[in-house]
Amino acid sequence: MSLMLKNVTKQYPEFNMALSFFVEPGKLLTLLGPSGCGKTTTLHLIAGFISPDSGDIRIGSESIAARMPHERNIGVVFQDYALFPNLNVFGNIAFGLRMHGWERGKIKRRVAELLELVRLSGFESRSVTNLSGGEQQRIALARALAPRPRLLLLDEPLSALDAKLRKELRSEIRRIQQEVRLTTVYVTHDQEEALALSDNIAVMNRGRIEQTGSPYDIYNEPQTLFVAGFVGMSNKIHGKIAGTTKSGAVEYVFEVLTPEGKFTVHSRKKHAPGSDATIVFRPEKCTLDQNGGSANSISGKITAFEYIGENMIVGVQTKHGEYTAKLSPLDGRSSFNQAGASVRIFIPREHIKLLPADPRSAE
Amino acid sequence: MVCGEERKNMQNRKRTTGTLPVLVFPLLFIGVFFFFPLFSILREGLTDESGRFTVKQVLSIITDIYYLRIILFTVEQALLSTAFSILLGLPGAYLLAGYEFRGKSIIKAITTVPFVLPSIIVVLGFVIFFGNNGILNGFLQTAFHLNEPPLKILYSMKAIILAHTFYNFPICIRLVSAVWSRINPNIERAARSLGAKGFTLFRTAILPQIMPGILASAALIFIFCFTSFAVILVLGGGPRFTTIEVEIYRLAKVSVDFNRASALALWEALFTVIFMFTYIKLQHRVSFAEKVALRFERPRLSSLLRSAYGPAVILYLALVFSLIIAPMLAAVHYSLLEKSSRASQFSYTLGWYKLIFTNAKQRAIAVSYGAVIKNSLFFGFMTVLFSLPVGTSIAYLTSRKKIPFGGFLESIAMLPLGISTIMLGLGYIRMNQTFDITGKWYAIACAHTVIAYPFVIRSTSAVFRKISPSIVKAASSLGANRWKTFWRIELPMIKSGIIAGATFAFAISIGEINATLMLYSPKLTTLPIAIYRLISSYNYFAACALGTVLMVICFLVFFIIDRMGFEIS
Repeated sequence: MSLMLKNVTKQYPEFNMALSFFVEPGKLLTLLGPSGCGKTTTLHLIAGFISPDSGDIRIGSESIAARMPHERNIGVVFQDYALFPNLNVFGNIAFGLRMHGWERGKIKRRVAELLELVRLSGFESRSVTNLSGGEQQRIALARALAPRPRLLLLDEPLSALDAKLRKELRSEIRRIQQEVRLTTVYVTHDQEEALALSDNIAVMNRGRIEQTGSPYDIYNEPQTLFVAGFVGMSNKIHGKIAGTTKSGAVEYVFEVLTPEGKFTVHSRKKHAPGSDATIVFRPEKCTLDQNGGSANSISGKITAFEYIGENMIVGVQTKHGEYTAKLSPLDGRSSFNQAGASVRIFIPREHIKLLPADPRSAE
Repeated sequence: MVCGEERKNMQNRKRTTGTLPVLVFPLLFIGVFFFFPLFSILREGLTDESGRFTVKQVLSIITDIYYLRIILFTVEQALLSTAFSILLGLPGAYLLAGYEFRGKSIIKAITTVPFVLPSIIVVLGFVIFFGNNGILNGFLQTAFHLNEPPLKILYSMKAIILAHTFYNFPICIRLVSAVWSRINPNIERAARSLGAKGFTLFRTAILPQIMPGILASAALIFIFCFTSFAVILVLGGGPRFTTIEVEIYRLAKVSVDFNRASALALWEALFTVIFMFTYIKLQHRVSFAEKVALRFERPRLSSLLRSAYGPAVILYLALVFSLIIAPMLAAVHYSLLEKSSRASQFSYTLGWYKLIFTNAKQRAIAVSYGAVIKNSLFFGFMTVLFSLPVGTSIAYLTSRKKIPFGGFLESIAMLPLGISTIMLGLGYIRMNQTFDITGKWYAIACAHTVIAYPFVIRSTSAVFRKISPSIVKAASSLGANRWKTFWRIELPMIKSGIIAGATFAFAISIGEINATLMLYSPKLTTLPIAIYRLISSYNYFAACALGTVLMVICFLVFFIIDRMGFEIS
């Protein structure tokens, strides 16, 4: 079943929430954003623990905004798992089935089915307080899935686990979600998790969605400064649109004047000449060289060099700012490890993004 | 689509309708059986015969040298008792916090004793052990061939302070060791690495960290000693050794001067409010320290015993052990004795216990022993029956639901902790002018309930708070409505808190003597009162028999509480 939020608003002292989004049946949408941006609140609105000031929430064609939480049949996995300590594993998973009036034999079979799905068969009589973090999380997932909900909500389910376990379990969750084909909303502040798991990502900031799109689009075509800065590392240069050199059918080509020099940038959006804009490029998309022409490049001095195995991170400082380049180790490990050496950063035209200088998205 | 406003109103209405009926019953009870008696005292102490407001009576207390002496003595004995309790308790706290040894749980259990042992038992054991004809003197006389008992300490300041110290130093051990075992060991290591050692190390690295625990336990012990009643009543005596509590009791029951009693009670209330406030402030600092629960290796006690400090530690442990256990063992021993025909010879008998099963009314107390035990058990159960609903509903409202003035409600509900029980009894006697309640069983039951329910609140709200909000949400998302969530998830989770609260309430009722002494009639005599009367009539054997029965009940109760693993704050 699909999920739709339409003009859902909620007022808070820190910010005003206003959201609309749509999740196709069987897809996983991740709400990604920093702490306090309202992602957990959004989940609670969908689940019914809090009610919106205005707006509609629909599952399929049915509006659920007026329903109490226990009537919505939405599965929720909480950050602290919230397993019932007075019930064992079987009791926890069976709880929702009991509430829905399933008969005993069916409950037993369903619990066994779910334990097999989360790869914990035979755990029925275990006490939930003696389980490891990873096991508790999988039981919480099994419990939420047991009554065949139409929607699954996960609130930072992996944040209490260590890094290695996180990676293992996130593929587990994705595998289960795809196997069950359940419409899912996943909340996290970890952008690697979001990129790895999702069909779509909605990047949130201060109660609003800045951009929705596939992981590829979010990473490679950020539409605001906030998204560019929050997802992955990015380098920024502020400047002004000098003029349009060419107008194509699909793309514009702009000249941008910045303190670091002139840049020629492609963009699908129109920018007025004279307006403020920010140039953004990813550290791994640029190259370094001692020499070379001045087009689309920045000249500066090396301030830092870190070899981290998979790649090298080089910090370059100019009169106007600091920039980071990420190079593969094959690109000349020895050439760029001298602090104070002069160097040029080159950015290929197709990897420079042009974004409006939006004060609201600025850090 | 339901408009937002309508939806919000629907939900808000659903939330508050549950609160009102739950609130009404406990508030009514507290209002009638706690605030009304208090108000009666207030009125009595602040109005003259014609009913006009006056501070004359209150001022006359503070300007009368007789009462000033009493107030000063109360403070003096409390200060000295506190000082000795802390001094005696600190080494124990150090051992408990810093070392691993077998039987640690037994020591921890023993430190629960002051909380469940009735004060009259302390007095009884004391008289038996330290009395002129008591065990200690008897032993010293025969050992050193003396004619006279060498230690005449009963009925003196020494006795009071000794009894208070014995009763209260386990509190210091418990509270300070709880803080001490949680301090950051790296601070001491850092200090050592910078050159500190010996007493300087203790003073600079350790003392500041455990100071909140020391201060909090000192404040608590001071309050207990300030409002101590049974100990002073029996071991004090005479105008020189009277405290405020005992004086109020005398004014009310002997002189029947309610004006003076109320005025004096108001002064005591003022003092205890100030002390309680201080304690609460200190308690907050202690609970912040508890947030850091570090796990680190503790050395074994056996290694300390083998070191140069070994003998000192053994001496300390022997002293502690004998102070706590010996008087009680002496009382049990005495209950099995009777005077034989030959002078100063004793023989063993179960006769005193057999008397429990007869219906013969005993001279000193005007009822049979069996009836006394029945009365105590009856009041114990009634107290549990009343205090559980009152305490649990308030705990639920203040820790689970968000109601306006929740914090205020909780402070109001916990007030009985800070009011002396003698004052409560006095208030009930004053209430007698309007309602005929003295000498009636429900007066005693309600007084016990008022004293006990704050402990029920404490133990149940501790477990209510452990229920994280996401548990309730999880149940809700799985289809459970509010009632099903409470019944199937929340209630089972707080079971241990309710049992702990019930046993506390029972223990408090069983051991209560202060308010009960003010309100009882002969046929309602309870165990503590019977023991007191028997001691006063020098009937020590019988007193010990009943005392042993009371001790057995208390230890059963304390055993149950300890099983619940309840942390007494």
